[in-house]
Amino acid sequence: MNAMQTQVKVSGLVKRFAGKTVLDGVDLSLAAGEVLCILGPNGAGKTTLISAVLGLIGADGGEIEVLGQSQKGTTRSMALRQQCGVMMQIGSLSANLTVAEQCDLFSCYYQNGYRATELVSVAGLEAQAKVRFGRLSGGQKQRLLFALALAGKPKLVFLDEPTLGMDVEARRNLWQQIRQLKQQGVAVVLTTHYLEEAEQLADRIMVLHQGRFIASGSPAELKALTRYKLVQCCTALSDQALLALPGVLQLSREQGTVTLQSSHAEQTLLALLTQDSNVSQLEVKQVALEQAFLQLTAPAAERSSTNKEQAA
Amino acid sequence: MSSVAIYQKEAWYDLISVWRTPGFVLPALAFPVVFYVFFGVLFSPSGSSSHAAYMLVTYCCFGIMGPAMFNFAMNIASDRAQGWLTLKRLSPMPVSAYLLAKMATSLVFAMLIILMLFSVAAIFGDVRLEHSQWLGLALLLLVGTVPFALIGLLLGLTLSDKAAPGVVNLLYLPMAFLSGLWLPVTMLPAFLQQLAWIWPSYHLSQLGLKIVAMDQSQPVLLHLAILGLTTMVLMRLCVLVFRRYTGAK
Amino acid sequence: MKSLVIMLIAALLVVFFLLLPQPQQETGPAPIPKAASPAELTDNSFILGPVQLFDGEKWREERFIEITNGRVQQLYLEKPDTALPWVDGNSQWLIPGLIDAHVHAWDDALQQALNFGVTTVLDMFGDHQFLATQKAARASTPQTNKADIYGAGTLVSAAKGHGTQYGRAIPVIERPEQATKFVADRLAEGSDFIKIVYTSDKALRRFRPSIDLATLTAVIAAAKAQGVLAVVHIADLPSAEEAIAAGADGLVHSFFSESVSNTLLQQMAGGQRFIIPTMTVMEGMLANKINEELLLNAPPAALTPAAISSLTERFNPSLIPSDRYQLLVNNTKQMADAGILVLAGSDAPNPNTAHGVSLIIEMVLLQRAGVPVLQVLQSASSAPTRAFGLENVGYLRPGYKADMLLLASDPMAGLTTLLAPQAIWKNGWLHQPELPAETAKIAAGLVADFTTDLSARSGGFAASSDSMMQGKSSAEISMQQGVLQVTGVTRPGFSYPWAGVAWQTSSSIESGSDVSDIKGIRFRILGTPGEYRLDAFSAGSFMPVSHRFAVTADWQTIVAPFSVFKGLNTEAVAMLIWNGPEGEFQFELDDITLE
Repeated sequence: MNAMQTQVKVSGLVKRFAGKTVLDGVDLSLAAGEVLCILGPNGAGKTTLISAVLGLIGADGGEIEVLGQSQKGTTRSMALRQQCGVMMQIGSLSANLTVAEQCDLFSCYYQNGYRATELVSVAGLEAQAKVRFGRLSGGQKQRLLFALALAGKPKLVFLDEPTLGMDVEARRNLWQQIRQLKQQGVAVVLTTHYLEEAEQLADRIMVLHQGRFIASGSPAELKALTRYKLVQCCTALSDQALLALPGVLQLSREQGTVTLQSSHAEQTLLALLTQDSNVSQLEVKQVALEQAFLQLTAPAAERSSTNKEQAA
Repeated sequence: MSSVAIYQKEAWYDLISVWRTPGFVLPALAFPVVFYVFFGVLFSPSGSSSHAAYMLVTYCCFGIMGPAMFNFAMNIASDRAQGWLTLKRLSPMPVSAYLLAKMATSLVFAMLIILMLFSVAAIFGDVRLEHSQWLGLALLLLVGTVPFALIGLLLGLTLSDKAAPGVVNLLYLPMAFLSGLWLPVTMLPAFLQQLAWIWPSYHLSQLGLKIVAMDQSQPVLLHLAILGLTTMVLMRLCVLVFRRYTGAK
Repeated sequence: MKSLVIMLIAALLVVFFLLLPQPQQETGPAPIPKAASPAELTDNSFILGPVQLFDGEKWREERFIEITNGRVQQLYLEKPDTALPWVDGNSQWLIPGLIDAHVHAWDDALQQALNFGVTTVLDMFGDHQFLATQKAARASTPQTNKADIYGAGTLVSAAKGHGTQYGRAIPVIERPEQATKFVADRLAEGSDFIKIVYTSDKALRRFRPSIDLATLTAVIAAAKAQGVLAVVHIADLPSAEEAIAAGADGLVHSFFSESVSNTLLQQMAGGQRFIIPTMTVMEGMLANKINEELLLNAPPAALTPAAISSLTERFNPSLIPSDRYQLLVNNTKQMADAGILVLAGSDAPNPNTAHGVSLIIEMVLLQRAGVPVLQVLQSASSAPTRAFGLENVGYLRPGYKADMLLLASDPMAGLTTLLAPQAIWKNGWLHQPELPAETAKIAAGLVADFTTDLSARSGGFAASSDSMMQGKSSAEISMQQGVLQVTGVTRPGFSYPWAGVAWQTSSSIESGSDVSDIKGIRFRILGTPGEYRLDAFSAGSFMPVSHRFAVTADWQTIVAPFSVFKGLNTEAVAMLIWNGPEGEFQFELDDITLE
């Protein structure tokens, strides 16, 4: 298997709902053995993008190619379905069937997939094989859904919030499994709320905002994109005065401590110390990826003016 | 795995899943039997076995309608809401396997209800029919579940999982009553009697009553035509709704 | 494994559908039972109602009766919902089949009884072999045209006592010591109870020898010891008193020789003894009006000529004043008033009685004597059952035989409705009396000239003598040179000695021939000179009426109009017997002609 083979290729994908453009010319490509993490706030179009790629919905423009086959509308070949594994965000199974029964049912769909008992092992639910889905914990449910996504030994896996509700250990186990998939040359598309997860797993992170990718790169590259730093201190200066400081974008107060978000931290510090020599508990922090993500996707108006106006 | 196996397993697990829902199984099986025992056998106005035979047909219709409509409407609505249906659509399972599995479950329930009501009728209602009549009635009732399953499918594809049970009840119970399934249609007020023909359940029950020679003497072809037409319209609607459902989010 | 389960389920489904019940009738699905007329029933399981129901003891509130396999299953206030066929009772009156507590049954007696709704008879002396043959049927509910029979078999009497005069040799008892074995012998023969004939030394008249009191007492004691009832035939007060004092369970006749004594009344009532007054047979001796009044003017269809003969027959004219009947009436009433259990018994087929029909006459006579009508109904149903411990008859209650009469009017308002029952059920089977064939009229003309064979005209000629009744006479016949030659001897021995040649008028001795259009019989005869006797028998009668004539050694023609036979039922004459004179004789008979 060619590790660099392109498994998914999306170009200029447009999807509109009731006149509103949800996906606005999205481009995407995914190579075998690559883990792509799509970030974006709710409503950014992540699920729509995945649904379109999976053929659950049709697109209004652009092209989709999955595993070398062109994806038109909502029809997909069985062969394609045999090779794709999906774990949807809202993914509940019939509450009355046991783990073993669900695995038995799903394993029979695939020609070259795991056998039922193997699937139970993949899920790591051997002890719960006779437990009905409805009685599993949230994490156990996610593990089963993950296993079912792998039922057909797919070449391409879509994971929508796969570790939701899992405890730390289970989450780490799942990460390990995803890494194994990667090693097997499986292309993985992952969405998650846990940025740690993205940092840990993703070869590439793409940030979707208002139907467009606004950033793309490795976790390190993406982090570098975020030039902002946080300046924390106790100061007598008013909000207005603080917002007027050079480089300050946002301000927040908590029990006398002010947090300033600055695009030019050095200049901000200089001006701050100039205007208030009594500044105490001063601290400068690097922004975590999580905050960088928030920053990238926060509404522009909020970033530029709202907080300033609010302060005024 | 062969595709036959997919159909078998899908049907088997659908049946198991439904069977493990006491809230569905008990009412579906108990209501027709209890109703029949009360209105067909115990409170029979004349104490006659002909009354019991008449009511056997109508309560069998009542009995088979329920599971067909509820199984489709409620379970499909909830499968949709919970993403189960999406997951299945993404898997290499043919959609027909899913629908046929539901149909098979409805047929199993219909068969159970037929067996129970036939037993009650034979043992307590003194109903005596020729083998051909018993068998004909059973087959008619099994085939007769199809239009009601389609109604359930239509509702299941359009309603939310929360709204589905209420709406099905709202349709099921009045339809049963107005078709003369609880009381002989002749005991209904005149204007309701004239409206009875709009319900598919009326035509199914009349076909059943024809087998035991107690119908209202309308032509068989009329009932068959209306039932067939209803079934075709419902099928068309289901296809449209399913397309819309799969085309949209 | 899987396919095995599927096949099993499929097989079970097939079995289920095969087990589903199918309609019994081929008419439509779920037939609604319609009321059937009794005659439409082909079974002895059904529902009858609505009816006014007398259960043998009292009138019931229940209106419906369920009969299952010939027995009463249950009584209901409302029509029960069952699959049984329903017979509409039309709100008529339903009572248990009648029980005649005093008969002498042989031949077709049980058929005759059932034809009139008498479903059980108590035989008070008859052929024990007949009893043994017939009694088996009473245990079950087969379809039958005969009444059930319980019987005494051979009675207990002294040598030459009452009971010995009927020409059949019967064992007699001489001494008290024989009692135990005598009773045991009777029970071994099949007797259900012991009947004793007794006439006290103190009786005013003693027609025949009787056992003595010691033997009576011993026989009663033996019967009790062996677990059966002892009933006594008496004809007068002293005999009755002694029998009751000796422990008799009941008296099978009342008496008209004197008024009943208080002693007897108290003893019987206190000891729960019963009385079978048999008023009908005594009415024939004393008043002889009741049959004329109720039966003979318009005879019920089921009455055979033989029965009519019997009903019109009288005991030999006696010297008993007819006002004695009132004494019998008074005695019956006093016994009933005293609380003594009265059983209706006809004593058929003695003169003035016939099987079946005479029990209804007896009931009318009891009522006329002053016995309350409810008690009269009991006297032919529950009373005999209580008195004799009969099994499963006498009541219409669950478990009892479905022996039933449906009556068009209330028997409490008139017992004669019993003469025309709407329906008779025996063992739950509808009994349709076989009506007697019309008696064939016999044409006038030559009966026999003993030259050409005319046997087709009649039942033929045969020698006849009292030897068949253990008498000492005998006779032989032969045809020689165109005449009938009879040789024989008439000797005293039987109470009514005879010897000669009998001509049976028709092939059926039961129905005989109707000679009412024929004046008389003419024949030529010669023989040993003396007084000859021509005996004529009505059908069913065993007591001939006679015409005497003298015969010489020369041929002479004798003409005997049928009017000379007093009491002969000319509509049904069964037999004529030419009897020779006393001692040895020989006579020749020729050219017998009806004219």
